[in-house]
Amino acid sequence: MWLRVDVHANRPIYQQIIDGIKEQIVRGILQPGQRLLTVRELATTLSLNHNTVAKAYQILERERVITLVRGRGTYVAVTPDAGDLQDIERRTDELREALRMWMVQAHHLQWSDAQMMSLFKQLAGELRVTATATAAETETETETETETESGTETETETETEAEAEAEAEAEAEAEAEAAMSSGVEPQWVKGSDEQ
Amino acid sequence: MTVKLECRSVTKRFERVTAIHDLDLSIEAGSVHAIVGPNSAGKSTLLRLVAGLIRPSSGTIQLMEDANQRLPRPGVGIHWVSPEMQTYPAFRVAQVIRYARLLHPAWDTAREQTLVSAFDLPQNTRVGHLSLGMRLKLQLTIAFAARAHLLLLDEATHGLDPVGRDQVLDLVLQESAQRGMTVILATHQLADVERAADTISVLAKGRCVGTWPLDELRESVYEVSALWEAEGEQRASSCPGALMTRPIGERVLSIVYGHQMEIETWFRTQGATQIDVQHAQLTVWLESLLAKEGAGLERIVLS
Repeated sequence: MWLRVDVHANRPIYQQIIDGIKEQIVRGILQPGQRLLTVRELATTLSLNHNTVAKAYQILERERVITLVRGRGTYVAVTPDAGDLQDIERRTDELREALRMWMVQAHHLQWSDAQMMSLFKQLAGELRVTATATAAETETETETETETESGTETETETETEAEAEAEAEAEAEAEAEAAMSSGVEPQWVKGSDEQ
Repeated sequence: MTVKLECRSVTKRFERVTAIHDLDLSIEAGSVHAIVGPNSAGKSTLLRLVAGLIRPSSGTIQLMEDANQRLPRPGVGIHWVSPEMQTYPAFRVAQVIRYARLLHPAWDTAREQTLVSAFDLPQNTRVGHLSLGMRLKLQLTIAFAARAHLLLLDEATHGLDPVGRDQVLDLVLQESAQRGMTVILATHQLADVERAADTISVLAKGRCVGTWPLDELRESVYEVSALWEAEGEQRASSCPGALMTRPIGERVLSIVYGHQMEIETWFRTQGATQIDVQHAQLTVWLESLLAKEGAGLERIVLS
């Protein structure tokens, strides 16, 4: 487990650790249920103050990104759960504010909304490529493991899952395309205009 | 065992100077605490007081094990590392280490061997002939092999080359993470502090200006540049949390401690325009703070 941390940056170190772990989860480098290094181990690996690492872990746990199992260790959370309501609100506001800054930048680059959307999709795709690649690896692993027990059942299950996923993806894409071609602004752009 | 430090109204007078003036300081067990300040701010005196090498003229210094328990024996497990420390100049390195091994009950021979070879300590050289960097490495070897509970580093990275400095800071962080060793690090190099410390105290003229978590400083110190119609410098300096204000061309630059939104709102309501709020570097913060305390460095102009 390795994170890039710049000790001279203005961003607090604990925030850099939080962002680093979150990104690795999105990219599939860290898998749900995977055990993380302990606070002490990570502090030693990165040569950082352990209290700083502990603070990052506390916040990640509060946001339900990681789960602390007493006496056993810290794991990447399995169930997708965004944390308590107030926390979600604050983080949503932060996300909206960040997107607003991007829109300002885009305006000064004389980018159209459509250009912005396609960049957005491209970046999301790049993140997903690494994520699905690693997910596929683990999927084949579990398949070979379970095949000896009850091969047919698990196979059908994974198939339907994959199908559902593909459908959802296609739907989302169609929606975004429809939004762009009809000139209707996607919702996250609307939200930023209100402020 | 982790050690917590509590200083209450500590004053230290030497014959004519008051080196430490009514100082209150509390350091959490297991933290890496940096003490920064200009020369003769009282950093070394404070560390000597904590080490028990000198006694305070008034006030109390308490070292407590974990929460409230007093240390079983004062001075045990406290290691002071400083360029000023004199070990026996006529002893050879190996002899000093052998002596230390007898002196410290928790001595770890495996650690001693690891450190001696990692630091490349010349076993047969007399201590008096060692370079400053090597002398510091010898002291650190003793502190780590003796499994120090409280490590006092007085400018302990100054005689070291950059690689040696990183090595030492890395060791300190490992010990702090794995054994909960408390570390007090006196320095005027903020670069050391940025990586290693979790809290920082600023000393100026023998007084403690304040104590902050380092991450809070990274988030809360801003450089504000704005346009004012008149009396900009004076008005900007009345901003809550303002540390320093100075004109730059037609604009006024302020260093302010606080929340970004609140700072921006304050400047706007005071009539400033073209307000630009950016995070400030730690060095900028320290310079401004010291200037505010009247301990800043004047620019030296040679005629």
